[in-house]
Amino acid sequence: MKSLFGRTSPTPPAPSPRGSFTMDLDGNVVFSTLASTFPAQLKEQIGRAVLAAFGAAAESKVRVTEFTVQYAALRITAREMRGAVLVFLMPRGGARKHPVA
Amino acid sequence: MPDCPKILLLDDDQDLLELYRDILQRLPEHPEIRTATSAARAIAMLDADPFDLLITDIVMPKMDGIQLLTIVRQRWPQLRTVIVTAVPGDQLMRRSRDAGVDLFFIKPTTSAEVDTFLSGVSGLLHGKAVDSALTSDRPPQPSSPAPPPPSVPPPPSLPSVVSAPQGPAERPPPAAQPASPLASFCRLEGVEFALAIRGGVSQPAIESWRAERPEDLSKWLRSTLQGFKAVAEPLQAGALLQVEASGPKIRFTMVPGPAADLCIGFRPSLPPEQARATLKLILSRWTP
Repeated sequence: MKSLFGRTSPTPPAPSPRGSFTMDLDGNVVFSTLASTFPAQLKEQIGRAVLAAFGAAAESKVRVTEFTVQYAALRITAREMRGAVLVFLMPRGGARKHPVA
Repeated sequence: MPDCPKILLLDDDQDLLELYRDILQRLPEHPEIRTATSAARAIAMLDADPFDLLITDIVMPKMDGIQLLTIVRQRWPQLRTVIVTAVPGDQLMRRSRDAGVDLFFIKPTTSAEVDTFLSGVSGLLHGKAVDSALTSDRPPQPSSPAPPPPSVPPPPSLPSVVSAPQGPAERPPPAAQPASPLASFCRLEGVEFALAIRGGVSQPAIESWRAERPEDLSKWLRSTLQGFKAVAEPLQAGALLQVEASGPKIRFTMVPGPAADLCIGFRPSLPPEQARATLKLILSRWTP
């Protein structure tokens, strides 16, 4: 149906994800609080990027235990935790104040 | 058990508080969950309202979880308590028990561990007596910090080869050397090194000031930025602005740019707010 104003409304942007997941060192997502609608493939892609960043740090002999990745619309915090990585996704510019530098 | 039990959740890490809140909301008891980021705040909240359960981290600035438990045992003896820690150890478990904790957990990271954690918390809310030593699904571990995962061995924190002029950060660059903005960045309080990479992946031009092993660092920086850039589009996260990396002895911030990628190394003890302000100043002066 044609819009009253003669044009269709633009598709709203997808909401930024919020939640966390853990990935073991073999690249398996073992726990997640992200919405079930969040694509599993994307979760794995993020987790693999995080594992690769930790792995590359180790190869460079730099002991890194946490990454904070700032995108224009999203913040990812990744922590090494007992043989797994814990990954937090948080929209940027939200109501919550983040203590992380 | 009360109709809607009240849980007070204490951790100085806001991200973990959010995670535990999400996890605890799965409890069939549908508890009311309130959070605090310091022991002092938790005490004020306990003073103001009755709670059924306190879940606390151990390692926190100013007052740690065990000190808090000691106070809780004296002032609110009926309050059930759970310790959740990332630093397992016999000594810590013993101290927690001495302080009267009901449950002792290692921070859960897998679904099975989360289930165990929730079962323990649920049991406490129903008033079941639980032996804290039996509730951990892992055997007791030595009191030293947990070892890193195999992919991240604990090497010396920073490489030993120095590729740029040495000396105190306040010292001006030698007169014979051309002035470099990186050198001026290194004179700022709390900045340990500065490194810039220009050019393509195959032939990068590296400029470093006081960075140790700049070639290795550059390789890592480039691959890390590439990896995180690659997930920006499918995530619809917008442009990659910066990546911070921290560890026991390091704190770096990497900033990608169209002409050059910049990496600033900060003194690890520098307060985060100061590091943020310094980085802002550096980026305002940075013209790659």
